[in-house]
Amino acid sequence: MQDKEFDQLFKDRFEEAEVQPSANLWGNIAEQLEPKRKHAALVYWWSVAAVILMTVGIGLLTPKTEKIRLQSKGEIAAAEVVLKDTVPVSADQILISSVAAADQDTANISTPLVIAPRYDAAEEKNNLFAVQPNTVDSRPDIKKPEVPAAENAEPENKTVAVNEVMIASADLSDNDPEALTASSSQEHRGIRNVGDLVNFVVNKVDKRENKIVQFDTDDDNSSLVSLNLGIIRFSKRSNK
Amino acid sequence: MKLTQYSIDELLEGCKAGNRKMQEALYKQTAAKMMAVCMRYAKNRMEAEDTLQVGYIKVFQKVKEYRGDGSFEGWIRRIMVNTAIESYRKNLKAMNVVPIEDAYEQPATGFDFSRLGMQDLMKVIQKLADGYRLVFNMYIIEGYSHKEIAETLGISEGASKSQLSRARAILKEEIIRMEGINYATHAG
Repeated sequence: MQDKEFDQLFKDRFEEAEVQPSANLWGNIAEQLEPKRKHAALVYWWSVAAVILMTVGIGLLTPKTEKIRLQSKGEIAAAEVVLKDTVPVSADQILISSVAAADQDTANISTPLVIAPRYDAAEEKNNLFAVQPNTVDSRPDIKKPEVPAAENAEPENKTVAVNEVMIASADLSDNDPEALTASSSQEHRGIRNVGDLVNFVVNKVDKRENKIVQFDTDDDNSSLVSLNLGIIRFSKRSNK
Repeated sequence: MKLTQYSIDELLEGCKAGNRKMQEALYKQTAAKMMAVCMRYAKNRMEAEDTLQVGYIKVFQKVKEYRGDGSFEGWIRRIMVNTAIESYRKNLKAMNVVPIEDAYEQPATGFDFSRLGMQDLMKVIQKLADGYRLVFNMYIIEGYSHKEIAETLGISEGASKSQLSRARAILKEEIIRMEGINYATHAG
């Protein structure tokens, strides 16, 4: 048999050849075609679940944010008074008060400083002066070398502390009203979509003014507005 | 299974729309022919079914690109062949040239090949080394030129030609050997 005939034989035999594949093969193909549609929806709901879980988790890990703010307000009030009053006070007076402070327990340092100038009506001032010089006089001379050191160190420390607190307080007081109105208005609108749901949960758990995550739900498509993961922050609202 | 409920045009439109029922109908109508194509390119049934499955996934993904030039069945068949070539190239173990003891141009005197059926030929073709089987299929059955084969497989035209004659020689020898055994057992 020549090659040509041989080749033709194969061609003829295979031309209309049919072999039945296994019965389950279509099932395999259909299965491989299927996942695509389900996939998108699944990914969406999993990501929603992940965001909620993450928010709750971080909320539980950082429960003391509010207390810190309250404390800071008190300190600011005290610090402001100290700042106001220490500036015009003469060198002698600082000397006196700092010596008095040095005597006290370290935990109570700020109280006499604050109270003494804060409530100084003219009369009370005089009374205090009448009391305080005695303590200075009663001090032995050995204490005096310490005074300049305390004098230098203390006002410095205090001003630094005051500055820090002041910055924090400035932020809070500036942004607080906005944050409050924003969150309260969202809560009152009710939950219409997933973005609202996430915002609701986040509002309940995260009391900071920069929430861990916030969605804009004005239109029906919830879009990410801001993100606050501590290190990574993202916000669509321009910072004032 | 010749329950041709849908015309080719209906099937085509349905598949383009991603209609699962139409996809299944197209599969049912063409799978047996395509399985035969895949079998020629495979060592065994399992390998052929793998190719068939991958091939049909491609068919349903690419059906929107089918512009209607040439028959739809021919288009599906080309996808199957290309899938088989691809999978060969993926696990390319060189051209697997198995030397055989001077079977070359052995005169097959008096042997009547024409009584061989499709299944006999399928058996011997599947026994060929991968490279031989690929070149034989592409040239003899699918009608590629040696130049096209050389380009597709990244070999020289000369290599394609010599692979083909080797494949042919091995097939002849194998058929005679198989039929000889059959004859011997029947006679014995």
